Amino acid sequence: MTGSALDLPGGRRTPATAARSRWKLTEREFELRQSAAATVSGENPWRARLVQLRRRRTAWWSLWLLGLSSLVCLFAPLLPLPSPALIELRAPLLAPIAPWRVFGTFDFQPEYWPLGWLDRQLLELRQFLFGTWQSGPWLGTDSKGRDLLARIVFGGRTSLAVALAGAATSLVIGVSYGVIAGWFGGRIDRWMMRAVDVLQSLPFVFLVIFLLTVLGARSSSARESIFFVVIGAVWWLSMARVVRGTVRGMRSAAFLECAQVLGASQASSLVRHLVPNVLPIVIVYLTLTIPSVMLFESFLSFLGLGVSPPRVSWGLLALEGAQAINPLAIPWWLVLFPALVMGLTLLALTMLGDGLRDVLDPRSQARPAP
Amino acid sequence: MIRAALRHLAGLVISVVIVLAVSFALMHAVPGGPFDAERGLHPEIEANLARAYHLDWPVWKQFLQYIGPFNLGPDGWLGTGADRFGGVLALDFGPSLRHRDYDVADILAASLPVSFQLGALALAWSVPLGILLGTLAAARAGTWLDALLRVLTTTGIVLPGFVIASLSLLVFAFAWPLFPVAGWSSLRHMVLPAFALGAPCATYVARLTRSGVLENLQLDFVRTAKGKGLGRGAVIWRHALRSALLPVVAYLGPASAAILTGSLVVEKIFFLPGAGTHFVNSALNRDYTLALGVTLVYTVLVFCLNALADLLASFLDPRVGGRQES
Amino acid sequence: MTLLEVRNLRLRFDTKDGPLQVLDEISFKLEAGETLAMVGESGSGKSLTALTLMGLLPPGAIIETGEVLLEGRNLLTLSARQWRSVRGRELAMVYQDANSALHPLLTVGEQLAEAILAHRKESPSEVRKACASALGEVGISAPEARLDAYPHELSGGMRQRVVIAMALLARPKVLIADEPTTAVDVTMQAQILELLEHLRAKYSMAVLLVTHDLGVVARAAQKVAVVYAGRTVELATTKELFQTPLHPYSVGLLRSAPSEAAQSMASVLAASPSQGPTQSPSQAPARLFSIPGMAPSPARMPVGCAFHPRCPFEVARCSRERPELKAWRVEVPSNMHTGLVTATSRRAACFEQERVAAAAVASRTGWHELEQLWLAKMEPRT
Repeated sequence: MTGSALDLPGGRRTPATAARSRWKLTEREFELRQSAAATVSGENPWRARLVQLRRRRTAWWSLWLLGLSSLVCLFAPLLPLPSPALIELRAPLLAPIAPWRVFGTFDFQPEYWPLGWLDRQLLELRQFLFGTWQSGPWLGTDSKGRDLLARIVFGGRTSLAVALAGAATSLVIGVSYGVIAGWFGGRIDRWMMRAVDVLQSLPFVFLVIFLLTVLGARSSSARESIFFVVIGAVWWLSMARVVRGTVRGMRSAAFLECAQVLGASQASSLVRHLVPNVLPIVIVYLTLTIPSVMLFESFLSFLGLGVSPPRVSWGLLALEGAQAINPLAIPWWLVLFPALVMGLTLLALTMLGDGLRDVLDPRSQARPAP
Repeated sequence: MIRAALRHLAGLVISVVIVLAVSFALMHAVPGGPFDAERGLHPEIEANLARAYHLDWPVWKQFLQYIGPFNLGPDGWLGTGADRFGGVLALDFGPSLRHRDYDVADILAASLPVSFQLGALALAWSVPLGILLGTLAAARAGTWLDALLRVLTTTGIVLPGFVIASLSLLVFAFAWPLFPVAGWSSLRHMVLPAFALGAPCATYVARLTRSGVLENLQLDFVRTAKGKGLGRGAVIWRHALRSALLPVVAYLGPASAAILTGSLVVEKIFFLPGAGTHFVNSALNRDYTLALGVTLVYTVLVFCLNALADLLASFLDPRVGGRQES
Repeated sequence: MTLLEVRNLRLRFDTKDGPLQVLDEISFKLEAGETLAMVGESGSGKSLTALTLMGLLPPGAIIETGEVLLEGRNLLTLSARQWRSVRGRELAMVYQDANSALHPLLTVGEQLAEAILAHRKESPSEVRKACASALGEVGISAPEARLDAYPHELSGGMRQRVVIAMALLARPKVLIADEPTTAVDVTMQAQILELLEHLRAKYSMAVLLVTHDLGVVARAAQKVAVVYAGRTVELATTKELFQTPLHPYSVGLLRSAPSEAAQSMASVLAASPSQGPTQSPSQAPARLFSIPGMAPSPARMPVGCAFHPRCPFEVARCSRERPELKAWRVEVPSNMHTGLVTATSRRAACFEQERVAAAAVASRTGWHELEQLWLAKMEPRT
């Protein structure tokens, strides 16, 4: 795909590329041999991939950023933030106050929606550590006087949880569907893939909303639990496609025949070779699925069909921001900060996904590096 | 070409049947009728309601009636006269469960034009602009213009549509009142919604075009074009862009689906009387028939747009359907 | 009169890991109306030279020194605008892979028309007529109808003819043919070469034929420039080269040509007035010879003569100094003295030209000895 009419091999030139050109290998072949060599010599191929990922700066920083923000979201009840649910009608729509002006107050009241066991423990620990101290309204408050920073952090928790749950669902469905189609091949494969084609061309958002309408009729909690499953069930299509392709490629690969000649049963050889071959691609597509699930959750929440108050998610925050603006008051922070956080997170996820794809997905090797 | 059209048609029929069957099954599987919310109705009224909605019929008959296109009479056979047609296939989605005085078809007839106008406007500005910007970025790859466009496109791709919509409302309607906040009566009303709806599409098209043009500029036929003595403009716009347009055209199908989806939030934010608003409200109010009507219409629409995009792509690419593949 | 002259062309790419010297003193002269073949392994810089002549270098290429003189005018100093008027009109190129050289979404007629319209305004009907006649000229039947065909609707040979027609449309003075026969099948190769020869004669163009196939050289070219590792190592007429290669690389190249090429060579030699034991096809080595070792990569060019690591004639100075491309000054072995008329134009970049020439002459009868020499040289390395 480099396409230029150069006679000389390759652009970059390292000892490795020199060796590559000596044997006239394509880059992919070369990397395959390298990783094969690494496996033989007992070196972990994942270590090499990690090094490659680290070389891609944006992807690496994105990984750190995402790790950090996930930790913050996970341990949100432990942080000395104001309550995200406490309605304080005396102080609505406070504009952001810089930390150096009001660093914190001693007004903390532990008011939340029903918390799980672990969260309760974290909350107790927080009260033990910080007492009633809480951070000031650094990002302002919303129309009901709730602290925006706390709501963003707790909203991130929900968004992250939904994204992970959805991604996990898509993982389970997509991988098993893809493995079955790819492994059995033939007519089964053809029909299964045709089904994927048809499903892919459906306007899923509408169907999901319709499904939520019908299924979630009983109560909002029922809706929420359905929501997690349904969201993931939408995004397994591309995962199934990719896994199926890889498995088909594997089936015809020589090493499986070798394993069978050596007496390994079909099933055991499948399992043994499946994981190392499919895992990289699954990771890539998982990273790419998470932002779209996140986006979809916020989209539904924004429409009022997703997470329902008093719980909070980023989509809900964006909705509240959009609803709060009117000709009399322009609480820009309610629109800007959730947008900023959401944009940054999605950007980081996309960057990480791109980086991972460059490192892990063999087919992307054909593309010239940006 | 005909094969492709038939394939699309088959896909359409299959998915409509799936959607219908699943929706019907779901509506019936959910315990309690659609009038759950209004508890404490007099039993006789409830019975009347049930009869009006054929809830007293056996399930198979309800399903037949539901699909149409013929009305089933009280005796179980085809009806006659003006009431002859009914069911989904006759575009009769039944009465709205919440707007008691309206049929779903009436609501759709009133609201779809708004949504279509909005969607068409959004596509009409975003695709050409995206192509233009993408080509410019590729032609000036590595300059400040390219960098600026890259920032813009990344922002457009990363920010959800509703955030773009809220931000544009905040900036251009409130902070700097260039455009009206809501309503749908003049072109000025349409600017902001069409912008918010088309922005993600424009950025994606720009990205697609840029990478396509850049890739093509490396190819041999571009070298041939330069070798003829053609200027840079002709090389980029005539040669490199032409084949870079194929993926853009292929993207038009998904793009229109995305625009339909985006119209849900945009209509909500700008309080537009479109089908999206009705759909969201019907979902919130559990107005099954209306929700189903919109879903069906949009399913068919997405299929048609996809087929149209395919057709356009094959029209642009002489190799499709040709003897040789290269 | 010298139409096109390339003098000491040096070209490099600057990469992250340092500069890559890809062209290192390419020199040759092309007279009006003659065909010069540029021969070398792939990666030796032939195609890059052709692209330099067309001003179509890929980004990142830096011309260090050298001149490309077209009728005395240095093309390397032209502005982008001036280049545009040269390309196509004075220099035109026939590309290696006609399949990828044609735009897949434009008709043949549209693509041909551009070659005219890039240089002069003409009415559409005239342009169409010109395009059709150009297609007829390259031997495409029903040219009018083909104008509306897309490239994928044509066969490989036909596409190659379209590319040739496209190059001819603006009546260039020099035609650069970059491996015009590699992408077409064997029967088509001969036809394409014949066509090029015919057109060259008809329009008295000069042709620069870039190829790695000595059979093509024997069939189509009057003169040869042998290129190794981005450097011209030998300049000669075709006949001279096949008779007495002066550079060891040329020797190896001749020996490694497949028997079909050997036949062409034999025919060239047979047609020559020189006597001497010409090698008959039956004597062609049964087993294909290839020069031992690898062509050096531009990143790690050997010091001194670039060929010395693979050279059986290596002497001590080869790894220290680089031999200049200089006129042949040695006495020609007596049995082939008659070829000396053009000896002044012969040049080779080798210190040991005499030995090479002698060995080459000797090898016509006893190739074995030379081969043994070669193998002995490579033994300790491999």
